[in-house]
Amino acid sequence: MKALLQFEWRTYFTKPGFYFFLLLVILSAVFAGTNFRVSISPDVFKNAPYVIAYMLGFMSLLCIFFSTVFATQVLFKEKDANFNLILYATPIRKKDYLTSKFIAVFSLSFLCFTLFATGFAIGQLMLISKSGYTDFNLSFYVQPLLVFGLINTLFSSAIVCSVAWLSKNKLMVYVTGLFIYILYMVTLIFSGSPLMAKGMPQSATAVLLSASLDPFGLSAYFLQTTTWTVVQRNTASIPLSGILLLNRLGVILVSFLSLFGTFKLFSFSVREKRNTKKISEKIELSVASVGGVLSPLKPSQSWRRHLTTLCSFTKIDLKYITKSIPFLLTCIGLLFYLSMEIYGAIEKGVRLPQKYATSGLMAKAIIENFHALCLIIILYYANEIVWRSRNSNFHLIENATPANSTSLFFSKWITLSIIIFFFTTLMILLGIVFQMQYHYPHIDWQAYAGVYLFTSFPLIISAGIILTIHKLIKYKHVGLIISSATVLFTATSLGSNFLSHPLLKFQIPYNGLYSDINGFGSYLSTFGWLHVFGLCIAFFLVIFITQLKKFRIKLLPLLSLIVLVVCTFWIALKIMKDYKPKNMEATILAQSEYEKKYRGFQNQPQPTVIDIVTTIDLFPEKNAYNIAATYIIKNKTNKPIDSILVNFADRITINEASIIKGNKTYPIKNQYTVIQLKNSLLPGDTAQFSTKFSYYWAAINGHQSFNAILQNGSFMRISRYYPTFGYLSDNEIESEVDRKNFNLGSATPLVTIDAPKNNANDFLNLDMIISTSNKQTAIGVGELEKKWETGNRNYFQYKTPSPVPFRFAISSAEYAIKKASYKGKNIEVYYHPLHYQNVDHLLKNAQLTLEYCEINFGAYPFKTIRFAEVSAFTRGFAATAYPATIYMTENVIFNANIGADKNQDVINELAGHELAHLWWGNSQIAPDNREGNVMLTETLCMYTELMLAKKMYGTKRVMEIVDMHLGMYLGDRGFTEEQPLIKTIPSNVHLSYSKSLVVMYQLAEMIGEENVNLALRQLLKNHAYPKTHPISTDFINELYAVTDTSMHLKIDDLFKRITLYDFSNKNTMVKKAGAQYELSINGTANKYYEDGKGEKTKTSFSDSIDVTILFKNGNEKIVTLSVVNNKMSAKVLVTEMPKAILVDPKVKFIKLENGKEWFIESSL
Amino acid sequence: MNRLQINNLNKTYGNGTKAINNITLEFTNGMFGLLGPNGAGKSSLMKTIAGLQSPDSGSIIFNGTDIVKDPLFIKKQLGFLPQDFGVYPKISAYDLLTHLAVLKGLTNAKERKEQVLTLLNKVNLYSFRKKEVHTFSGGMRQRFGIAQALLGSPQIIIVDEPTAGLDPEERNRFNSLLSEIGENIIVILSTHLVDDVKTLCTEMAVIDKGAVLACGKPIDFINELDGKLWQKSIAKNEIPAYEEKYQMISTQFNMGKLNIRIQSNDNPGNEFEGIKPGLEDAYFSILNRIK
Repeated sequence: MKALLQFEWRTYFTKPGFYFFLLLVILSAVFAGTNFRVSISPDVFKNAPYVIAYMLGFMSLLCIFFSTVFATQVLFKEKDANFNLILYATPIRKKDYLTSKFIAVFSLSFLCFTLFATGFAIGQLMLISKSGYTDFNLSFYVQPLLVFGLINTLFSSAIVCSVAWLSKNKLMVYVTGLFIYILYMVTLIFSGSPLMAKGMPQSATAVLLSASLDPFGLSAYFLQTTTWTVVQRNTASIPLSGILLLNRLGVILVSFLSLFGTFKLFSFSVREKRNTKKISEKIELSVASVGGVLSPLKPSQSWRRHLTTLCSFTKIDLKYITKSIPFLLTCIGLLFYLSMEIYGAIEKGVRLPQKYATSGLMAKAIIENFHALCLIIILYYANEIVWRSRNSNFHLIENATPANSTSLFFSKWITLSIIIFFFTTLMILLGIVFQMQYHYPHIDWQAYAGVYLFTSFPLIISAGIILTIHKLIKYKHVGLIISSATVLFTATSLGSNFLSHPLLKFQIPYNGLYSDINGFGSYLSTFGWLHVFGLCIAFFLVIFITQLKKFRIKLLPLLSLIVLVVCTFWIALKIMKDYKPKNMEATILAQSEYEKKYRGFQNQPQPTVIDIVTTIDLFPEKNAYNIAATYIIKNKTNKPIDSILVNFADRITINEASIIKGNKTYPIKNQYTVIQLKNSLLPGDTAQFSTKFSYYWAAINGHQSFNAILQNGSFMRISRYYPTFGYLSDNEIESEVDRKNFNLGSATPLVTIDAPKNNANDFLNLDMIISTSNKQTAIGVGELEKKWETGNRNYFQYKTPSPVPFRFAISSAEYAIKKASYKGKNIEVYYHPLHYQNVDHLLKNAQLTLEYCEINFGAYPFKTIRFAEVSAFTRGFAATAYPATIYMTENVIFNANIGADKNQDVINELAGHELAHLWWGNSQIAPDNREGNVMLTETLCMYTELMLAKKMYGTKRVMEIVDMHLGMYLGDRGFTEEQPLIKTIPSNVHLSYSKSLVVMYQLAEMIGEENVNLALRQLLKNHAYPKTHPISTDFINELYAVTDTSMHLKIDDLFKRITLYDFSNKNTMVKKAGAQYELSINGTANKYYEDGKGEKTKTSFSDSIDVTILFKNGNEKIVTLSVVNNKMSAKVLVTEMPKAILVDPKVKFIKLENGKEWFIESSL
Repeated sequence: MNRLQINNLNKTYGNGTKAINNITLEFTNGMFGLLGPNGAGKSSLMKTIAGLQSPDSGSIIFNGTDIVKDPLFIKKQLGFLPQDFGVYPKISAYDLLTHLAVLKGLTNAKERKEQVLTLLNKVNLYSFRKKEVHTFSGGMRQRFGIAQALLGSPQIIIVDEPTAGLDPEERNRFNSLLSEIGENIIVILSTHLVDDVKTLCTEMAVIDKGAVLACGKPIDFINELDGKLWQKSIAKNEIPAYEEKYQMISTQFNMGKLNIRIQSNDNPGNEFEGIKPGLEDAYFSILNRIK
């Protein structure tokens, strides 16, 4: 056996090409190490052991590739060389033969992956001095190499070898590789990890299932490390225990079982297919003469000959590809993978409700996921049909015919194109089946046409390029490797990281947005042209390669080359017309310049805007708007103002701007301008500022989510693009390293919670006239004063009845409208006519929220409540609240199938949450911009949302929501440094939303809902405009005011500290006591304070805890026990036999292991 | 009358093998046999004539056109049956012939179908036309091969070792098919089977190590040896001694005895008896000449 194995190794290690391949592996890994920088969070190092394990685990996907390639070479060597009969006839032992072959495949694959991991480590080592990296530690790489690399190589080698030996078909081996890949991707969809791009919280069952089934162990790793802290992620090695250990052992077991089974079933025999029995016959010798039977060949026109040749080749190749079982399996694999992706896109996990199965959603899921898989398939088939003639040993006959090699080339391209179209159509049919299955039969052909445009076209271009490479390179495997590498770096999302110029991305599908309201928007034509551009390039290459012979070229091909060059240039110019390259360095330089020049203004008095009159002209069809605005600015400080810093936003065009003070006008020309006033603006004095500016975006640069002026469904947080005064600390560079490079000192810190309060009142009156195209309605903030139509345009005037913060937005779309009224307030919903399903429910929930908030918090300050739907081109929020108007994106709310299941009533949640912002946000109170300010907005809105869910669905639903948010908090907290709620920073949304909901629930359970509401009412009373801006501790003080002092420590535990509990079982038992059972509950109940980085301090804990006793017959009983000095001990008499107990069933404490049942020992 | 002239043709492969060494030959209508041992360069010569590879130097003129410069010219009038050819799996005889017919430029569907069916009939594969070719037995596959070579009424047909691996009956049948074809066009038959050349060819050449050793009519070669061929049964261990003494042409076992044949203008005596030469003897005689 040793000799056999050595023979296999020698085959590789004596070839220079193999060393070249290994070098390529190392080089690409070094490249990966330096370029794939996964930044999980600012607090986790880019080379933390957690990140390395995650990345190497993810990259162990390569094991599939390596083992598939080696299996097809090592295991089919004899068959390919027609040597198998001789070999099978030798007295070689089956065991030795198979074992040596398997070890060869496994060892070669693992060698490649080890080299890859080495290269990756070298790549990371090269960056070690950069910010965000920690010290190099070899064991951080070795461990994942073994836990993921070794075991995954074993698994994929075992599976592909088994399939290879049992099927004896090379194509089946490739298909198996594809299937393992699909299985891997599908388990990752349901892993629910926040690290996965589409990661949405999944149900516990789905997560557990994917952790168990993931053959590559990554899902199990995610699950195993859910509760890890930042420190653990930065220092701890892979925890080979629990579900991860089970998964790894299971995978090893499956690998060996499959090998063992194969060893049993395999036999040294040459397979004769049932239907390919050799035909032989006895015939009478023909006596007829051949001469004269055949009519002489008539000369035919050459174009006709080329055409029929082309068709014949195409037909014969298509027949070959499609008439095979692997092709069928490939179809099944594709359908399965896409089904899972589409299913995942419709069912959004536990957080979000089911989506409607719209064509847009289907199309997007297909575009995102189909391309890469189809590319692999095309790579394979291209290689196969190019080499088929030679592989079948038919090439001599074919080549001796006068058939044109150009026709041959184009026939291959056409064949692949037909296969691509076939697969695309199959995916679209799948989408339609899903639409029918989910009862959403409105077929939007534009969306599906987009699938052809954005996936089929780039794939056809790639196919042309792959074939060109094969034409140039005369070695089969070298051609395959080079064409694979080429498409990897030019046609996948990986490539888009390296190809900075948009014209080079012509093979990469547009992976952006589709909206029911706006379709693909302007991206359709831009990216459509980009693919036409790509097609021209592919044609150019193809014609050049096939026609240029010995540096001579015929006239016709030469002409077509010239035409193609002209077309390519014309299209390139068309696409690039408005292109502005993203230049990160220039941006950072500008930021640094800004800070250096203007930071002095931070401590200088600057005017406040107190009034804005503005006209906004929207041109949706041109992706453009023009704005004219006049401000009244006032010196609200107690010092005179001598100079004013005026800031305009990026990307806008300033048409005119000036400050008018008295009879003096100060013109403004630049984005940042300092105006030196001749006469100071004295305290209490006012001046006027007026400006005209415009904005336009081109699809090649992409749109800004919050400045999305679109054909339909526009939404702009427009106030962000209005000029402002004074120094903008938001403009500062955040990265410490960059700041050091520019000698910038420390950045403006977030104001701490205990800094002196700021009394500035900076609300303003707003009067805006919005005009838009004649089919559309424009929605602003405040009350609609009037609307009219002039010159084929619609005009709307909105005014705020009372002052509002400098924060306003607009939308414009072809809306359908539905209205209701509640106690004299108008509730209006503006929606896309197709999205009518949830409108009534929204109106109803708005009324409920209005009722709850008015009763418990205070009066609603406007006459109208407007809900306006905006297109999915705006991302980053589900809904956003402005004075009197709430904007909601189509894909989260209007397009959610809330009736489907699970009571995930996102309308109830969001109507409650967003409407509550009109109390807890920026209309009545404006929390001071400092640590913990989100506690006065999001935390309080999460509370309102929960109370409304309770009102509508009851306490059971409340517990489900609390459980879910607790899970999200616990799952996310290990990635960043944590603050107590009163100091929460806005970027930690798992604190400001999820933890907040849990804490507010616990608060309401502790002091009662009425008391919470009382405190809130007081907060509003004491801090609403024009009183001082509140800070988070103001709310705590209001809570103190409505509660007994004995409660204050508990309130502090909730808001001022990071408090965690750990309850564990210590010998809880049951024994018979007469006719009853005596249950002795014994356990420890520990309480910890955490420092935000994972460092725990144990503290003494005495309290009462609820315990649910679960009985064997399904009954439950709740008892309350007391905890004294961290010990829990009680005896309970029950009439039935208990099964288990659940401590703290109502989640009154935050435990790392929530919902874990305690096992009861029985002495019966 | 078709005419193919090969002038001073040379071809050396990348690994240094001189496959064609200054070959000059001329072919006209009729069957021409290329005889030579394995690896003599027959296949290389055939591939070069078929335009599948270009020579390093020399010219090949077919009916007045240099096909080294314009390989398409011969390909349009060529039928080629390579020595060892495979076929695409899962494709029927009819479909594969139709495909090749298209490649040969038979664009008219009706004519094409007619010709394909006629040929299938001719080679007695008509009843198997819907069967996949790769399931055919060796003889059937060779007949399929000749059918495809005949597609498009070629003016020159090149067949490379067509009867290798066929049983005697199949071989006979195949040869009679070939001889019918060879009446009006050039047929170049490459083989190492002397019998095939003897029965079929009017002209022949012997090739070894890339060079032409002799060229002419088979009968002339035989006549040349007439009266100069002698045979004797000897013991195996005597071979070296005889080899030294006589111009040995061949040794062969016959019913357990070792017969040797030598070439000599005069009677060598020593119990040798004169025998009538065959083409095989002539062939060996030519091959031995260069030793």
